[in-house]
Amino acid sequence: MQPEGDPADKIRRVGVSSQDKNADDFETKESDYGSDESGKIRRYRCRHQGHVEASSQLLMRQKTDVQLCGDASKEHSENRQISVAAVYQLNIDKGADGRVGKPHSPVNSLLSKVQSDSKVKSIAQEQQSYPFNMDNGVSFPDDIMLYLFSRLPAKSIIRFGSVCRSWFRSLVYGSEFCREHLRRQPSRVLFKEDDKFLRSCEVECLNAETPTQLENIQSPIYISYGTKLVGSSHGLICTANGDHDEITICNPSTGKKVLLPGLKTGRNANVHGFAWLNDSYIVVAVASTISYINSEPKYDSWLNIFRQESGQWLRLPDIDGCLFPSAIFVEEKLHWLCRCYNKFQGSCKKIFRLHVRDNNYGWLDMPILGEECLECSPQQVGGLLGLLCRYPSKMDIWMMKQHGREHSWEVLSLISNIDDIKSCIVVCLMGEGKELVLKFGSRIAIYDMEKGTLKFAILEPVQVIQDAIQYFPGVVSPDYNRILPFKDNAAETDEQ
Amino acid sequence: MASKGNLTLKSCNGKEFIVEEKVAVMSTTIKNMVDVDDSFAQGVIPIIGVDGKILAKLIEYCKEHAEADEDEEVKSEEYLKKFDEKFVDELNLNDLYDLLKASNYLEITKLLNLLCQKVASMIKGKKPEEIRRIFNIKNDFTPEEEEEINRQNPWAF
Repeated sequence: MQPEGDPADKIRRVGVSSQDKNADDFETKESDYGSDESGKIRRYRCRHQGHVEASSQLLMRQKTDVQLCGDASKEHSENRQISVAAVYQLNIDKGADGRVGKPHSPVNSLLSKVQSDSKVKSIAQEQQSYPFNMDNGVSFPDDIMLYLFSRLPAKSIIRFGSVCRSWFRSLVYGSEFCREHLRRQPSRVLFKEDDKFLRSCEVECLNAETPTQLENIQSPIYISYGTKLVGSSHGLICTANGDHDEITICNPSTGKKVLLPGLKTGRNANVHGFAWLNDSYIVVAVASTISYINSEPKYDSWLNIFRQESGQWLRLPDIDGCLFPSAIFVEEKLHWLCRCYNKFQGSCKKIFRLHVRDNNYGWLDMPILGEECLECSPQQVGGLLGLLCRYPSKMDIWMMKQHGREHSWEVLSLISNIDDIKSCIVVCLMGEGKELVLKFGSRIAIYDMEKGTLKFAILEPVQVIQDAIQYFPGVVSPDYNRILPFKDNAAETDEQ
Repeated sequence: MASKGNLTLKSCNGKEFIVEEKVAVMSTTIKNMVDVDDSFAQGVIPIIGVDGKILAKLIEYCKEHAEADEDEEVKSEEYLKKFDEKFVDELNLNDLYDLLKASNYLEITKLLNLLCQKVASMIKGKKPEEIRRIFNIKNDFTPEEEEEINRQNPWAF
């Protein structure tokens, strides 16, 4: 049995429902939290108004939960089942399994103990010491704080981290806050030009008629010469410099940057993919080789995967195929163009995909592209896997309408009758998904999918673009070993 | 006693306000109460934790918006925008906090959005010490810790 203080430390916000059914209702609602403005607590409050007798106590939220705890402990003695309807902090720590409904689960029994031990008061105190609430001064409910601060730009957030310890924990190190803040940010495009500077603009500001003024990135993010932007997710950018074997993850909005540990391989590995899973990032590096045995080619690729959670590289089983950069992240899988060889078919191209959750992998067949296809590359188009194919005088984009189903490839002819078609990547969608933003050679082009027109965007002050990538100016930290820069009392209490 | 179609709201300091139901149900919390229990529709709804001054403000806001929802011609979007601007500009800091809290737990989403936007734009460019003063927060960092944190992000200050 754990000490009595423990549940209260971990569970910052506890509400008790006297009916199991209600708790179930709540849980289903809770899963769509990400898209709801008003937050869990309010929803929870509404639910209770439905079935606990609506009295004046209900209206005062700070008092409501305490009152409910009190009621529930009485009910408990009458042998009614108690279930925890809202476990705020536990959700964050332990993923989706926030509800503690089983009578024999340790946390539940602890909670029952807390309630029956008339620990109502300690729960109430704990609520108030949720990191967002200030120990001194004006105190807002947590959801207001979340609501308020998620409207501020990253620069203000970083600055407000030094107001006091509890703000620092919540704003700079709080994953829930980072998620909510990110959700409110408009989509932007980050440009790397010939020089080392990064500039950006909102996606919806791009257009072909008037010049778009690019803003300098305010934070001191330095991208050395020859560094490529590999990928972007949740406000973080992965960059790689092949010459120096440097792989960094940075947040251009907060200026935070970390260097990943070196790959001790002896092989010439390249960083191919940047993925996101369970609130943390994943980087995949690849080295591909060809050898010939009796004049038959043998392709071989070696994969290493870095997870933010573990902070180290892990080698995966080798792949019989040659993987081309870069990998595209769609539906929890990284997708590569892969050259394979077998005796019957000879050399052929397929799509190799790696499921980043469990490191399982497999291949997908490509649509038939024809002999004239000069180049093709996987792309992400509005959450779907796409395949951009360049021909001598046209460009097609194939989209896999149903993920993982090879029969669902559909083609869209992008450009025809142009002599000089440059290599091209899809940056993102704009205009409610009707327009494609393309990096077309060293320029940015906007393709209207309804009208079928391609126009070039005019960017100020620089026109020649090396890399362009979609990103969201959030405050997510790229660190993989996170240490608070001060002695954390809250963490210590947790450990006791 | 309120007539049919009207609700009586009572502030924590005992002031009673008779408002049209369509105005009161701009608050999702009140709407839920009325939907669940008919007795609220006839009796008095106590709004605990909100005093008469703040409740009057809330009602003023809800009235304008409820009427605008009903008749777009008389109260156009532009009119509402101007009303909103004036509404938040006239608030002092204390009222702003009280209204924020009240609109949060009464779930008047539109107003909550408006107020959050106002507070966010108010504090956006402020320095940490100004924020501490506004929110009355004690600096609990040691000088060394504060220096270390500030050193990490000099560009943000």
